[in-house]
Amino acid sequence: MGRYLARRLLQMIPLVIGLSVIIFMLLAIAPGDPVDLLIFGNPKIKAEDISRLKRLYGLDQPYYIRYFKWMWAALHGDLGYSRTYKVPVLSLMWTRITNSLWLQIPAFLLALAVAIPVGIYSALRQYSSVDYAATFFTFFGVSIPAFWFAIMMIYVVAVWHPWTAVPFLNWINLPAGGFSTPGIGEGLPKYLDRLRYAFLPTIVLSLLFMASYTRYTRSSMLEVVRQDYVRTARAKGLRERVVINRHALKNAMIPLATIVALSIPGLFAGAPLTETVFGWPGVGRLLVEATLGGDFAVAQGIIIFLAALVIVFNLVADISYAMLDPRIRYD
Amino acid sequence: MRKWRWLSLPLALVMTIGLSALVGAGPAGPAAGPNTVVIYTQQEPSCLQPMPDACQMFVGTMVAVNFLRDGVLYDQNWKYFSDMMEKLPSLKDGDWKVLPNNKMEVTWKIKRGNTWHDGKPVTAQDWIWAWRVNLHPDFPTAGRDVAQRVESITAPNPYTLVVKWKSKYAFANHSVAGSSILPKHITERMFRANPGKFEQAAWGNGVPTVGNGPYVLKEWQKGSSITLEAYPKWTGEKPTVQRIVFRFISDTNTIIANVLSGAADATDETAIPFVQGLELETRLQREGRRDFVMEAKPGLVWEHIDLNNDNVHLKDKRVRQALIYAINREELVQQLFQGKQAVSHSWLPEKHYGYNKNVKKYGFDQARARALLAEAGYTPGSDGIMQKGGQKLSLTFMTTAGNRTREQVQQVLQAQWRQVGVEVRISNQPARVYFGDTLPNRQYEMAMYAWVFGPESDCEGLYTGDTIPGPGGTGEGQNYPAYKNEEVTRICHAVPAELDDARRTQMLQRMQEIWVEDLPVIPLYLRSDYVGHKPGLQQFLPTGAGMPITWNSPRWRWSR
Repeated sequence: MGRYLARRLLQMIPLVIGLSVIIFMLLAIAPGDPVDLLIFGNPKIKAEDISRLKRLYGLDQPYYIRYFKWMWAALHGDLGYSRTYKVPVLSLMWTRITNSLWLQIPAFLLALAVAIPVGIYSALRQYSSVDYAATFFTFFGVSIPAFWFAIMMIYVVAVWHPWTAVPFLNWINLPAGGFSTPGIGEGLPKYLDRLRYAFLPTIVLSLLFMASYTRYTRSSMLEVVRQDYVRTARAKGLRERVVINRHALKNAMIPLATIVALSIPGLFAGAPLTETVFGWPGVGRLLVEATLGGDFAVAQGIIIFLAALVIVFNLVADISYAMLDPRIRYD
Repeated sequence: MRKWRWLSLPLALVMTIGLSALVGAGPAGPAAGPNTVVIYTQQEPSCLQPMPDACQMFVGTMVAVNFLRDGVLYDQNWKYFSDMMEKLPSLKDGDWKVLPNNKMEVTWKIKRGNTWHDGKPVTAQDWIWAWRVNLHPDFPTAGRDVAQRVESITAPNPYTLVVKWKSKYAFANHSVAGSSILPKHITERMFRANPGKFEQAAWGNGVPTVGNGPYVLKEWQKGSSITLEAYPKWTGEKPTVQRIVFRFISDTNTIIANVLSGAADATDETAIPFVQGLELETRLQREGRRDFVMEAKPGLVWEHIDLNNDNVHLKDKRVRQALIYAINREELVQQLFQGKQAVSHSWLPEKHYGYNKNVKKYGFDQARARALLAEAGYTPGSDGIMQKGGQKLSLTFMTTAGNRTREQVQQVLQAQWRQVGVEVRISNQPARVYFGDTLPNRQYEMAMYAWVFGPESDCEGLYTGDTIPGPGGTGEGQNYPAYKNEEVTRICHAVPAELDDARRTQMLQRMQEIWVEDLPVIPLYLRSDYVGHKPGLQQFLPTGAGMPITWNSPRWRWSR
């Protein structure tokens, strides 16, 4: 396993470098650099001003020079400066990733907390009304567009809020998007306020996770409970709870563990559509804005970071698979 | 049961905390109290410095005009005024002089008593410093064509500025020297440390950013909101509204939801695009809701179709005129915009001082269009498409991809052109490609987009024959249609230097006469922008002219 790990880690290096070259070039050769867009807004700009601006932003240099300068700085921990937000890319990314994790982690945990028991129950009571309801729910969850569901939640919960007719429920008031109440201050009020704003987007995101994880758990569990060793465990007279928890569940979770490990980079990628609809300043929304706004340094930094995360968590998934299934060995 | 007992206390605690987090104020009337106005907008300013181009987003101006006053503003009737100067200089009063060698000297008297928010006085040196920064070779701004017309600025005393202009310039009293204002005592050190990165300096990128206006920048939650609070030592009209909060939500539907839930007191021009604004206005009227008012303010955004005058078909004026006769612009604005966006007959809006209301008007006349094409030598082919010399009259029509309104307009026009035998293929591009590459290199045949004008706009750079960019062009500029007319070029170059208002108006009117006859561009309509506000918010007076909705924020008040 040690040699396998070392080999995979070494392979990551040229992979990340190759990705960085491709991503850099794709962004650099896209038409319309920031200076071109400035020129468009000013009919009276002179040629010498255009050259001066291109020189100031480093856009007059060949692509490979720009790449090597960027790479050299990146190796020293400097991913550049955001032209839009006027802060170092790393600090901007860190802030936005943290904001995204505010939504993603609760959504992810909530999804697992619901999906696993529902999936197990659904598999054990196949074709029951609960199973049908869960199946319908999973199809609904994977089929509906996230942005549509987000907007519907905003309208129902924040605009329509029909429960306000009910006296003991009419104090519930959720904001229709945003991140926090201006002037809320620090400490507990700030965190409670943040929870208020995070509530709806978390529900939207968790639905999407929930639907797919329920499906995986159910199908995996169905396959496992039909195995001979489960029948043997039952034949030995073990209680059903022991059969499921001790014999079936561990094997059923192997595929789910792999999928969960592969989902983790997605937590750091944010949710561009959901964050945009809710006005949540996460990293997904930042990536979209940076790409559309020509803020190359930010777009590049985020994409390369996420690409590296995917590579790392692929390795984590492989290793977790080996840990869960003793039949699997890597050399 | 035993297991659940020990779980119940922490569970109850979690639920209490969780549910209590759901409690929030439900605004009816002002969203955040009688001393606050909450404005929703789509874009967040990248920074709040007045000059670097990277900061020059319209929404940045909407925020900055509250805490930074640089001398001159204009009101909802486009009348210029100043709250930092004793008066605007004028030729009549003698504080604006034309010198013998065609140079000019303009003297500004600064009102005493104005201070920066840290208590330091606002003096002439702050304006001089801003001008010097603007002209620094390492300062990343492209908008310094006015500043470059200034030869020197001196301050005989801290409250007088004498601006010497290199040549005549008609709008010398619309800004001190085309360069805004900066607090020298704070920004000089930052600028000298790294002029090229001044836009990244702390001033203008967060709190504190010391200004001199009626409001102080109190809080900036990046990605979320900006909060301003009234400055108690403002010498002008004291603000009644103590707090202004700008909230940035990039999704229009979410902004609309906030309008409907009462969380928004006002929305600016960028918050809700026209079509959705129209839908919202209709919905509010249909539901009988009077708690929010949507108004379409005719603005200075001119939607048009550039025709590449170098194209083999479009270089013939008769073909260009045939194209405009073939389309029914009146019906277009009625059907798509319920008449709230006026058809334009020239490149200037009606409100502009130089607008010529007597220019030739092209109505909807498809028979005339066919006659013009026949005169130009086109005959219909077997498929009904006009052709000449074996070449079909087939043109590519481009605009920005993803813009629903423009795509609808394209479809309507395509069908109408087809009726006169002009084949039009639609091909849209992302805005960055379109504006960054296609238009500057003139790689198009027909291109629809909008120019944003101001009360001072003229045609220099836009329709002058020596400012055609791209391959085979004649110079840097935005004459994308490659329009060449000697008289127009001469007039456009002369207009900025013509000090006589009446004469300047005549020149622009003559230019429009020629331009409308030559028709290098098809004028479509003037865009209106939807601005919304709660009716209880009084003195909310959008200008529809490039000056942001917050220009008179100190006068805002909530009715009881």
